Amino acid sequence: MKFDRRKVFYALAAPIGAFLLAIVVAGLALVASGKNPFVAFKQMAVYGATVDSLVVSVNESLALFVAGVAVAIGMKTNLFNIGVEGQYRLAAIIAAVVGASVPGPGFLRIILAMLAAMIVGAMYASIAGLLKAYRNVNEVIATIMLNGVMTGLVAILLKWKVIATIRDQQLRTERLPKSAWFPSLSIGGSQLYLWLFVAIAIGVGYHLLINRSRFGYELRTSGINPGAALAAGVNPKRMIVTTMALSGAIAGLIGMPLLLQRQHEFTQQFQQLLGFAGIAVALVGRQKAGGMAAAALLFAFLTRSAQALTSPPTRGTREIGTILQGTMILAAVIAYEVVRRRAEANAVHEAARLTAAHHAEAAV
Amino acid sequence: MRSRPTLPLARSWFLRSPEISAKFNGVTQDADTGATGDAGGPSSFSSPISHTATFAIELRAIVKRFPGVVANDGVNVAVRPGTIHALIGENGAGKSTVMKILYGAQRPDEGTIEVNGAAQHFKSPRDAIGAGIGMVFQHFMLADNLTVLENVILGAEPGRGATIDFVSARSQLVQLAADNGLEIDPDVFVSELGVGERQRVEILKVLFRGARIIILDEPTAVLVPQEVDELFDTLRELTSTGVTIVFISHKLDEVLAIADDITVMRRGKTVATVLPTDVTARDLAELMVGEELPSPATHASTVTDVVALEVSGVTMKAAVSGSRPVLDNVSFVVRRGEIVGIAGVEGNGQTELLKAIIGIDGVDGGAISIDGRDLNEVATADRRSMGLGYVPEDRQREALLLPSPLWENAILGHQRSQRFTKGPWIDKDASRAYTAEIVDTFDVRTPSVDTVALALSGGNQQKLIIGRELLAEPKVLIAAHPTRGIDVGAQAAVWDAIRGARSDGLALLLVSADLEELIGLSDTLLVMLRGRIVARLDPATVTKSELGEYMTGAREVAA
Repeated sequence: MKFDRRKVFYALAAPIGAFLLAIVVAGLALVASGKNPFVAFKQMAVYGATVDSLVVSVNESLALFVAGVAVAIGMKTNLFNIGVEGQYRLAAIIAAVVGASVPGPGFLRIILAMLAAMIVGAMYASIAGLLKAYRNVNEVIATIMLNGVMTGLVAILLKWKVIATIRDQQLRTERLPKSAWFPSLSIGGSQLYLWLFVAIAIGVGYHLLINRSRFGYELRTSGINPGAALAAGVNPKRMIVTTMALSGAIAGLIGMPLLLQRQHEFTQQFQQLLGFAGIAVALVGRQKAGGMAAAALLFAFLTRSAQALTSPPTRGTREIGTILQGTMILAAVIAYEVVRRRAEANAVHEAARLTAAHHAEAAV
Repeated sequence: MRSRPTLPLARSWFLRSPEISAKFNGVTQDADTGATGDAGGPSSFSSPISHTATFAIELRAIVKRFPGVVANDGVNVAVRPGTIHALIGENGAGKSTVMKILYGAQRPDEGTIEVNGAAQHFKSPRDAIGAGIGMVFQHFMLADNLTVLENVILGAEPGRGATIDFVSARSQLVQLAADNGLEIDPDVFVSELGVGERQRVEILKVLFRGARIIILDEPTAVLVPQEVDELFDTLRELTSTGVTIVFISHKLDEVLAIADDITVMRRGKTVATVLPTDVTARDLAELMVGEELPSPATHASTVTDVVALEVSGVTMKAAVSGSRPVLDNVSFVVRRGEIVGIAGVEGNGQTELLKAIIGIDGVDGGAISIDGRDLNEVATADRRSMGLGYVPEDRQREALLLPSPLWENAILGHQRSQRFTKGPWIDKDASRAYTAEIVDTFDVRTPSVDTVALALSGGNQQKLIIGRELLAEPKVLIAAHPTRGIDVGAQAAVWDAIRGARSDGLALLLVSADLEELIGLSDTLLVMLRGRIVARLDPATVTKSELGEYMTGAREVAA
């Protein structure tokens, strides 16, 4: 069991180290701006630990987590889907329209809206997948460009009267009826989004698909060694298209907790940059369901608790939250690489020692 | 250091195993005593070689540890100047570590290096070159788009400032080539040279840098028998001008043919230094292995008349239009219970043939069928499920998931087999059990089936790959170099498994550079040259040198 303990150590050393380093860097930034870091961190901790803050952190983490999963699916097969951003925003506007306009009971609207979001996300991501598979266009370039195209598309769609009208001086899609609002649970006056369970299901599904299924095995194989995957009978082109579509489908769901639980409509102000945050979540969470959940919760918590820094005595240092997150991402990525190499070297030595022992036995 | 008595070249010093040392008349000595050299032992040896001069190279009691393993543990090598000294041993015996230490790429933890009587502490290859030691690697390091002259002077250009004095460089090179019997046109592009000529350029490169001691790492691995003869002529010419050669190899016949002295390594130790006249290849092999040897020879024929794999008229065009086709009208059949061996110099279409059969590369003409079913429209995955197994040439690139556990590697290529799946899920228990079976059968040395593949040595990785294909009971197996890089014991296990599968009806297409393996295992031998099958030979009657002549095109038959 000694071996297992070492494994646990390797799994935890990197994120904890990254977190501590982030605290130090953020502390230095606070000192540089003339504030007492201990006061600031205490303020953050006190504010962050309130029931309301915790509920909001969980709520906010949902979209981050799903974004992480969407990016991670691509990463598992060595595809860098930078286009999650575009995929979820385009999906969100279509889902908003579908949810608001289809007739039927609320739960059916919810299901159809989510389905529409997945289809739109998958289709939009497939463009980059097809280009990569059949025209050898780098998916990073293609998805970045498609993000630009999305901005224009969303703007055009919002100007279309069938889709959006101006209310309260803003272009908005038709509001979803109350029946199509996803239920939430009241905890001490704060509303916990029950979409949490959908996110959990996505996490469990992701884990099973990637680590337990034959499809996941082939997907990972393509990522680790495309040549070996080819020799093993995996069609690399089909794998690229399928993976991008799957990544896009999950990306489509990023906006759902916002649409179904908070805004109930799509506006120009619909939250942006979640797709890019997903890249950070996937990196820090090492594309593992549990890791990404922890990363998403931590990021949401840091963002929330940094709001404490808008009040005295540390007013004006709210960006500490951003510094913490940024440092952590960098430090985590580096720390993972260091730990991975150590673990690899250890495995090599372990095997070598065993072989040497064999030799010794044989020599006796 | 010079006050110490010079180590004489005993016919066999510090042999470890008494049963082997008993075969030789030389004095045996415990390795550790020999290694320290101070215990007064060495000078009492009776030596068949009388000599008084200092050694060109003398390694004493070299120890090199890597975390967890000792790569060299008491290495003693004494190379007489102007001779060819062979260093032989199995893969993993520590030859390459010795080579790296000699070449300054690694520093020993213990022991001394003396070059021409002077102690040396190489910090880098530069120091070794400075001491007159040059290295010719197995894989050539030449720029194809430069001429011979440009390659030779690359990095050691004569001239002042930014200008290169080509005139003096050329005259130096021509002189050097003439002095050492290395005929070469200095102005031809390296891309136009054959393998043997490229090797000559490599040798010229180190001579140009002033090397008088040349280390050759497995120099014959890339050569066909005729080129080997030419190389040996060159080496003899070189030694006659006073150059000292250290020849690293595991090909015993060649070592016996060329070497003046032979030092044998086993498990990190030098176990004997012998004269080629005193030993047979079998003696050497037993010294290397420390045990009796297996043989690749198959026994009774099990060939049936049922065709399992049929390749007819297969043609594959070259990527560059205008070049000769990679595969040119290749036709043959492999029957159930038959092993068809393909001999050929690497790069004559064997790799592409296997890739066409497994379905990685498409063909431009002809047909491939298994059990009479045409494979033209059949995807690789479906070919696999029809019972086609594949051992690729490049195991790192095509056969392994290095960062994944062994059990995931063991089912690679069989991931769609019902044996390893439960519906859409991978059956981890079945996969791990299968891996354990491979590990047992083929003696894969690994802490567990959950160890990542990159932790294993190349030989153990190879055993895993062979094992996963053979134990999956394929109908047809196409295999490239199935025993390349694995130790003798495991080689025997692979050969046994192949023979067993053959008598159970396996049709095997075997590509190998090991001619002994090809001749020993095959029921039918084909020779490939420039993408074509140029000869069909009977392995019972063909010799290695005949085979070599067909491989280079020196001899032809109507195939």
